[in-house]
Amino acid sequence: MKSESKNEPSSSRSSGKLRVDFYESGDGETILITFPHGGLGIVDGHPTPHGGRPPIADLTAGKHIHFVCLSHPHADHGVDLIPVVESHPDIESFWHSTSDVEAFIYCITETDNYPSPVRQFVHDLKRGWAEFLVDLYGAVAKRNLDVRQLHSNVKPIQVDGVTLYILSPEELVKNRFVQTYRERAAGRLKRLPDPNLLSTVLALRYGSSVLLLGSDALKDNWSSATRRYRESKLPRALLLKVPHHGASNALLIHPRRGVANYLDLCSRDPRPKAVLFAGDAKHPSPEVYQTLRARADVCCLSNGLAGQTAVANPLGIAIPGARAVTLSRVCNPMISFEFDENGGFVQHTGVGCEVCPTAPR
Amino acid sequence: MISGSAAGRAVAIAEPLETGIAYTVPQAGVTVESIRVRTPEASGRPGKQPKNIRQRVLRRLRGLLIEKQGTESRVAFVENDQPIQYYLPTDRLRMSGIVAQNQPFEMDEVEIQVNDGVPIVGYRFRPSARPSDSFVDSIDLDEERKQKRALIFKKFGKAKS
Repeated sequence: MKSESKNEPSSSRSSGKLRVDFYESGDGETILITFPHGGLGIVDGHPTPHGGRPPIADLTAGKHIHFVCLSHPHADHGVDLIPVVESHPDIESFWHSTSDVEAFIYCITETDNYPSPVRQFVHDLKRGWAEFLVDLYGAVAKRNLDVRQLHSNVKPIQVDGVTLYILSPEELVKNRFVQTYRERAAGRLKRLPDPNLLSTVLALRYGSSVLLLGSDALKDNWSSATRRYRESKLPRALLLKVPHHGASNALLIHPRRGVANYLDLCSRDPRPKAVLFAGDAKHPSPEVYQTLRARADVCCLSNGLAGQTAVANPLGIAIPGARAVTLSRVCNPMISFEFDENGGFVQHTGVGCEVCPTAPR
Repeated sequence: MISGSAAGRAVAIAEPLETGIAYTVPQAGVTVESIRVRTPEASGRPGKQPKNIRQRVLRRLRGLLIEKQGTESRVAFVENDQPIQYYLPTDRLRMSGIVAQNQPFEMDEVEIQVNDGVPIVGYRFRPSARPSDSFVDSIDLDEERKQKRALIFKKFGKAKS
């Protein structure tokens, strides 16, 4: 593993700014961080089916990449990292949170199935996930990239004047996965815990500016991540990447006294920006969305509640609540912010829900 | 009170209905389970006519439970050899014993007509296998991916941080 002192800027002139670009990615997520000297950090990557933005190879061409980070081992956060890891010539390291990769991959190449006419479809659904992870980690292994495993006990990482705090996952969570691997290896049919629990929550501090990237972290993750955030004495975040596509299982809307949720980590003045990837029609949860709107300026790459006119139901199933899984409407193909060290920031692209004509009311 | 299974008896299954509504052809081998018919005397309501319930299956969809997401579950129906993913209420599946990830099921769309009333359409779920029927299915990787997996085992098996 390279030492932090080797983490040098890619150009001699500093912009003095930290830039974050969020790209619409279908039902997934893509976040590019441009550090003050021009080097990149990639946190997750997934292509867009809508064609509203350049391919990731174009976005990263000619730039030094400090790190490629798979925030957790789900395809909607990592499919577009494969071409980067396979062919980008200048990658410093690969970051991930998957514990015991070889055991994890072994586990996901086995699945529970049933004797039935749809058996092959179960097999195919699981094969897609297995192939994604084999392709990504296979490319990392083939290039023999420097690998850094992330968990909340890792010390803050310095990249070009920016400090990255790893607030999740806890080692305890990772151990639950390891325990499952062992039981399966012993022949017991035990299901893996939810891989969203492996979500890497990153807080990026640049001077007095803090950005909080929430991956798909669940309530369980946030109960410890909020504590670690406060222990690190970080200023309140100016920008939040809303966790888990705005799902209700990530946000304690009415927390008990003394219990914090991720919105409690955000600034009050100035009002924070909340960036939402909600690429399928089930996301965000209406209650979470209302809570976000009340507390932050929300900007969406996509939003399943936006501009809904009819429920997709190609099979014509007349059960209340029955609807096909469809992609959401695209709100912004790209949302960009630039931060300075003094807590100032500018939004370059993307419009917020307060002025968006299709935003849910 | 008269009670008992109506399968193949008083309840007409798959009879053509003269209502002008376009129906799909019913599938063979479908029976109705445990419908109870109550006589006017036993019901204690004089003058009430015995019910003539006709029920037929309009179509049968096969599917599998992908995952439960709280009050909703994500399922896949297989139609023309293509999976179509849907959200369905979790309770409807759970009450029929469809509770496990990847568990297969059938969903019948059933038309029910009582006496000469307007036909109504309902849905009946049935698991195609019990949770205890599950077995471990190995994903077959192609040769290229087997090589990648071997590389992964080599690199990540020794490089733990």
